[in-house]
Amino acid sequence: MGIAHFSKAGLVLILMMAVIGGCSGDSGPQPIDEAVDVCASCNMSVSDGPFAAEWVQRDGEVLKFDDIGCLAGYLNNNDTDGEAYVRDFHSKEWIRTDQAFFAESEVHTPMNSGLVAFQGEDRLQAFIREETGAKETTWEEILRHARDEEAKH
Amino acid sequence: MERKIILCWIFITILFVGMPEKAESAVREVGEGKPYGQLVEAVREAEDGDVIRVYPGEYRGNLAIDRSITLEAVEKGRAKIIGDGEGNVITIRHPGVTIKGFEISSGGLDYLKNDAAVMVTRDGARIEDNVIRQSLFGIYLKKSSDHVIRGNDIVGWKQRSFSERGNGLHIYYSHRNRVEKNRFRYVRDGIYVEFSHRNRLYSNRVEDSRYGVHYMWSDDNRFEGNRFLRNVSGAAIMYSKRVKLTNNRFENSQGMRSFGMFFQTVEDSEAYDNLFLHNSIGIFSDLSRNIQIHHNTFLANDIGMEMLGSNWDGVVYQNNFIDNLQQLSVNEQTTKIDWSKGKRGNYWSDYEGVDVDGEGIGKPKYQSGNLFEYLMTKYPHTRLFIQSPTAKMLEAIDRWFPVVSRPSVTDPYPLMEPVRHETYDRLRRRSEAGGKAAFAWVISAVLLLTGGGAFWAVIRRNR
Repeated sequence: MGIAHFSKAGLVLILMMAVIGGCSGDSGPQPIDEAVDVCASCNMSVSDGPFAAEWVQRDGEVLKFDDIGCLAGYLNNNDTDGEAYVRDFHSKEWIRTDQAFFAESEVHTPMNSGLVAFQGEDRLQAFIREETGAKETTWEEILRHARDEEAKH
Repeated sequence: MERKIILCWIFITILFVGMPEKAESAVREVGEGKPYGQLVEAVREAEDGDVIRVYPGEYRGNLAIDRSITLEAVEKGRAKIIGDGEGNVITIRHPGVTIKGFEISSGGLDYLKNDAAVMVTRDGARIEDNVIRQSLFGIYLKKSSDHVIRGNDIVGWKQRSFSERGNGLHIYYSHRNRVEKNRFRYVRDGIYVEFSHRNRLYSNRVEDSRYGVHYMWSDDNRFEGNRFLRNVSGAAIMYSKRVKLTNNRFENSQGMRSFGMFFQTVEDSEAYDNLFLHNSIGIFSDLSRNIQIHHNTFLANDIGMEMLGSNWDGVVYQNNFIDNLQQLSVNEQTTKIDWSKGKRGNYWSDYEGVDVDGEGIGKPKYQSGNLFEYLMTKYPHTRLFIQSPTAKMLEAIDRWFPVVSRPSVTDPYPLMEPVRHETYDRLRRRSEAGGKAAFAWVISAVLLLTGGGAFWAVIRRNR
């Protein structure tokens, strides 16, 4: 009897924890839905390709971008708390920007930034070797460049 | 006298210099039992000015064209050029090449290399009456200008997502092209224009793709008489100046963020005589300056027009807003957009004023929106209750006691009658004609039935 009560209470507790846990954000990047998702910066629809980027806010809201350049431009103008994600150029795996390796290239990205991201340094180096005009860059450099672009206008 | 002799000499010289060139150009025939069995061979041996006539059949292998020649199918669509499945099927590397009447398929699918069915890298090409299938990009105009692209039918990939499709016609650093009467289906963007100026797009049709026409950083472009059906957006005009669009039809762009057309950071542009029918949002505009929108009809869209407060110096006048679930959506109260010009506003089907002085202008002023529409703009989920009794009650209360201040638009000179313009008139004529035809059908059916019935009754009685 006592045990049954205890286990019921435990069950409720676990359920509650699950619910609360589910609500407490920390959700990470969301999949791209091409029919619905629109770039929070330029209003263009977001392709489910390697150039998509996301800004996962602490409050759980996920903003989507069609180009890494658009994400940088947005972060430049908006002061919110969260984590930025980009995709590996080949596998389309989501990577946090502080763990990604970036290249500036002549690849035709939606907003022409030419920015592509990689999961590992070796992939980045291989890409730079193969693509003419591609060179290594960093997330800090990308944000700085977005600031300079903004200042020009 | 002396002058005449000189003129004579000049004439003769021209004749002789001109002649050999003429004599050199030849017609080369390709097909079964013709001088050339393979198209690749004929192209390799052709000289400037030659015409290669291709008889029905399948011709395999990618083609690179380094002479100003004409490739022409004897029977339209029955000569098939089948690529290697890698790279471009046809690469034009010389000015003045014509490709006419072929079916072109099996190009490469490498996005990094922009693989296309026809890649054009030199000026003055004519790509006409071709059918393009099974390729990433259809026609790619790259850093070359003054092309004519006419009457092509380009079909992409129905089953692929947009990110795995190429654009139907990709115009990149390519100016003054004439793009006419082409049809695009299941591609990413029908016509994509980037860093390309002074292009003319006439009477094209784009269906079931992402964007019908997509401008990026492209100025002085014109598009006229095009039709856009079931795309994510009919036209996406972005970061461009002096775009003029007339006489187009934007239909059935439906989805969460689907627009008949949208302006993003556009300047000094003009839209007139267009029809926006059954879209989620007719026109959406953000961060744009001096957009002139006049003589257009917004009919039966979820939202006729969404004009954000970020736009300025624009004017919207003499348009018809007819039976849109929500005529207008604005997110802030501004006076940066004029809703009339020369004392002529717009026609609003939900306007309830009267024409006091018989000048066709109603009084009082038209005020857009109501409390419920405001709630819908702010909390999209409330759209679920559109047209419900609750919504009606809110609207009524708001009319009597307007206490909630909300952004809205005032049209000081609302029109009493719809504005006449070509695309709208054509639609009206058709629906009237359709109405008449339906009426005629019903009458004849009724006559036939009563006649038949009477005939039957008479026969029965006589029996």
